[in-house]
Amino acid sequence: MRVNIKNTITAGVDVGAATAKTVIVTDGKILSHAVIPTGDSVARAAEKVTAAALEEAGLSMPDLGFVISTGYGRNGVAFANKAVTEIICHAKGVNFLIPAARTVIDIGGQDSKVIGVREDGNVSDFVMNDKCAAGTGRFLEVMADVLGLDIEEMGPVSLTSKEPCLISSTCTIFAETEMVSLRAEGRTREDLVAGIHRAVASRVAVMGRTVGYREQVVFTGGVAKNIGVKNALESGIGLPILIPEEPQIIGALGAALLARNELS
Amino acid sequence: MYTELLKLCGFEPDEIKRERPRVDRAFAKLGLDEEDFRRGEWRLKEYLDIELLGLRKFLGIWMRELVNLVLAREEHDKIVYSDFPMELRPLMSMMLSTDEKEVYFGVPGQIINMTMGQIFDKITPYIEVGEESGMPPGAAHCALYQTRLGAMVKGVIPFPDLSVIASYHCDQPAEAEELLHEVYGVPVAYLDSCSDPNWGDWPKFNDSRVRYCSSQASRMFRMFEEIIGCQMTEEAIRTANRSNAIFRLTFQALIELIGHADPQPISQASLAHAFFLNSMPTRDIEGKQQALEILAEEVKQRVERGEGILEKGAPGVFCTATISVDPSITRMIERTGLAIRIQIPNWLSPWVLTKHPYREWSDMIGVGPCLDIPHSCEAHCLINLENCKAFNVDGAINFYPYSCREWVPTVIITKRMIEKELGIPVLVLEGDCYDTRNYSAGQLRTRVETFAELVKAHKAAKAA
Amino acid sequence: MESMKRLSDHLATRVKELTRLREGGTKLIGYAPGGYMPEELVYACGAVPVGLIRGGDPEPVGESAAYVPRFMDTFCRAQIGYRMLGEEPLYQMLDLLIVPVTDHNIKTIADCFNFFAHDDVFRFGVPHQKDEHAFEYYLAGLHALREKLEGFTGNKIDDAHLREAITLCNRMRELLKEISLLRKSEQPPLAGYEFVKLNHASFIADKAVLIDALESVLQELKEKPPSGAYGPRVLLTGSTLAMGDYKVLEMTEAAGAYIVIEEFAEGMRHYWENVQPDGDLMEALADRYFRRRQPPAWFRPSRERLDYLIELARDFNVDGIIWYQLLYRSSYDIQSFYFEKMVKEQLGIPMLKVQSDYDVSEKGPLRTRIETFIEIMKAGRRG
Repeated sequence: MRVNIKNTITAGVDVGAATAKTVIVTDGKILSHAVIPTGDSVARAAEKVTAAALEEAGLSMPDLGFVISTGYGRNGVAFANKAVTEIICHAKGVNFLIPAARTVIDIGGQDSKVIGVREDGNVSDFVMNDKCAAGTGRFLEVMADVLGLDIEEMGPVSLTSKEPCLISSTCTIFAETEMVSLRAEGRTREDLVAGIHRAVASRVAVMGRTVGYREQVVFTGGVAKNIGVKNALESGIGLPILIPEEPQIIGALGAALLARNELS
Repeated sequence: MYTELLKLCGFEPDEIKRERPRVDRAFAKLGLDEEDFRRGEWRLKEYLDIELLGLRKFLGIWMRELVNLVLAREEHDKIVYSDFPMELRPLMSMMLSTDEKEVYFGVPGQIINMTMGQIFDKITPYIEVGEESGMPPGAAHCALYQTRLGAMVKGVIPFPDLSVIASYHCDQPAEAEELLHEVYGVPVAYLDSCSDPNWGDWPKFNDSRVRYCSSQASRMFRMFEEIIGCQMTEEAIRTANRSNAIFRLTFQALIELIGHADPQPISQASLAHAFFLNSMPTRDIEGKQQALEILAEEVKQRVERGEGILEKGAPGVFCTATISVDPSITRMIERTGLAIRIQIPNWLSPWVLTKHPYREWSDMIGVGPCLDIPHSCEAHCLINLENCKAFNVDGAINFYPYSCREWVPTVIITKRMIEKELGIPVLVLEGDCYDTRNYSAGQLRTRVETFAELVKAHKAAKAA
Repeated sequence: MESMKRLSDHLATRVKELTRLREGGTKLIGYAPGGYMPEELVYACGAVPVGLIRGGDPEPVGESAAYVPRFMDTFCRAQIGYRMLGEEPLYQMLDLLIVPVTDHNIKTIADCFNFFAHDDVFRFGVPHQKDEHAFEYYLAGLHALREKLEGFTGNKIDDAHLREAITLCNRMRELLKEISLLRKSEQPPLAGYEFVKLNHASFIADKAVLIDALESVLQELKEKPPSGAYGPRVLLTGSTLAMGDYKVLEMTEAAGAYIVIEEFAEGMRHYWENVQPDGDLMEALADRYFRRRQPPAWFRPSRERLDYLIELARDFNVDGIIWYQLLYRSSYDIQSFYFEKMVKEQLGIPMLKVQSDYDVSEKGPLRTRIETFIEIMKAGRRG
């Protein structure tokens, strides 16, 4: 796609492991956004989700001045003008919504990151989980499955726990076994779920110590919708955490904003 | 079928013809087939500056060593092995005291890694056998020693008559050799010392450590003489020391030339085969010196012409340990637009440089083993810092091989030290020098691309 | 037992007592375990030694990830975690840390205390074999340590004080050994778990109080009537048996077996030999702590330790061996591979190898494995 310098409307397309998101912005305003499951084709998901966002804004492809793709599928988005990593985009997106943010905790489907953000929205330092699923959304999905819960139910369920189970397993497979034996011991579902949240939170909290937590801390990514993980993270790092209204689209938003910079 | 590959490795047509029977036998034993040769050629072209004659000659030295290693039992009476991180000079002194026809001398782990790994990307079968043979997966055992053990147990390379191993710089070589001794009856001579410098000691070193180290070297030499049935000669020691000194100094000058050049003239991945000759004894002393001089001249010409693999003005970084990893990772870093100015342990700190190589090597290993990585965490970190300063880099990538217990403790300390002293961004990258199953360039790309943005921003801010 | 209670009361107030001592100007000197640091030298300069041997908790292991990647020995990472978490008082009140450097895992404790906690740390090296040069090197290390201690405390270490300290420590070791050896009996009068707690107390407790308690314990045990209970006898060996890391002991003994001897630096290697205080006292210390001491897995020839273990298994008439190692302690992991074969060939008894990363998720599978193992031993006995 050719760069349209006259047009100040830009898009960010974030293709993650679980979902694809597109945000369309113009001059500091969000025009529209869309989220769909990624499915098995990055290219198709990117096109579909962008078409949806364009439709919502009443626009079409040629109206876009610049497109930046991000997320793990960023290099598979044919119509993007540039690919930027989701770490840079998250910092930018959070900075736009919450200028006071200095630390971003992003927990997505397949990985998690702790990002230090400068006043100008640039990244100061970051750390990303290694190939292990513990400390990611995938871990929560597996555990929800083991407990026969819907992933959305987990947050609210955990809030009623009086004594969260201690689950320190660093491995998804082992944690699964652990769940089974804890259930055999008669622990309640609430305590188990709260324990799972604590395990995810403590893994991410520790990982981020090499970057350091500075206020304001902001929590993004799909898992940020889970109130239980948020609470556990707050106690893990000892600081209050803010969650943007649409935590899932921050990467795409950042990409769209960066795309705007490309035009000026 | 492998003619093209060997040509890429600097073989002349008549040598290929002459050596064909040996190469055939060795490659058959290694299970190398058409597909492997194609992959090897592709990798050499994709990741290395294969047009450089000096580089091709280095590749050739390793390929010849691979053939020699595989055929060692049929061609020699006695076999002696060592491996990283054994200091090169005592090894070469021992080797040069023996008759070339009678005794084979080699570092099998490194040879297999630099050829079957770096060139063919076919090292996993050896690691897997190593894992089954007493160095299990999931326990962060060193893949170099798993490879070595696996290759012997698989029967691809022979068991040696003697193994000589350094047992202090890292823990694993001695642990692995005890297994080799207990399970397969291989006699092992250890060069022992202790990694016990206190913080603040470096660069001073402790006389009693040097004394202990030299007592252990004498012990090792005696055992070598008894088992191999030869006498260490003064001439061999002199030749080893002299040739090593000349090679190191030439290499040092090349490293500095590359590190200070803008644009970066060649990929750092192209230096691995030259660099690891600093810890691999080859009888082809003339050949390796010649290769290095050719490479140095080629680089010099590129620098003079202002040619390079990156744009001029690209931000420069310091990298740790990427030298020994699969070249795709080094290339991935460079392809994000970061110029790798310098890698530890290529370049010596100014302090080591002033003393080196005119000192006795037992003094040297009283401070650090081969390649001058000192066996003190503080010194290791300070040398990293010195590297960053000397090459005025805009960022540092602290790549660490996860199974290296010497390296792991220095990782976060180095990060903190460089950030604090120089205020530049530091990326910690987990990987493995010798095992590519768990770590790939693709997996590390998001981190490196993000980091490249940080470094560019940092450089821009500094300029403004 | 009443005397055991006395000892645990003492331990409960030990931190307070040490705080008081420290306020009065006494130096508290911590040391990394492994058994190569002679407490005698610390006592002889008027300071108090504290062994850093706490372990088994998951939190410090998690905490350590901020300072060192996870690929080092679990126990060593835990030490860094305890120091940096700041919740374990003993780790926060040390004036000096001594680390005998054995391998890179132990060395990492020293590096992290140096860099992240800004502590005063003194290292000295332990060679990996026992020829005369190695002995000289270890001895030189002890002399350097002595100099450091003298400079640090301002007190000269003279022979009279050193001899006094040796006598004190010898008495402690003698008592521990005598109590431990009671377990050679068909019906051990105390559980392995109980003995290990006594042994661990000796790394922290005031020596006079400890010796007094051990004397009574010994007396009480000698007078104790046989219980009439028989169970399979187990030799427990491995990398580190930390204070608080009692899961293997508890599970094994709860399932009806006796652990009759613990071959660890924090087990029998701690008390087995005594210092022979004749001639040069520094040499006498090096003789006991280096030359005569049973070697760990990173020592060469590794056969020395394994042959010794086989002897020990015979001597204590055990029915099985549990090999307990911590994650990423590579020397033990590799050694276990060929030891298992030796056990099979030379003893014909079963061996169970278990590994821990101080993770709570380990408990369920661990219990299953231990209980199965004990059943196998029982079957072996009957057969």
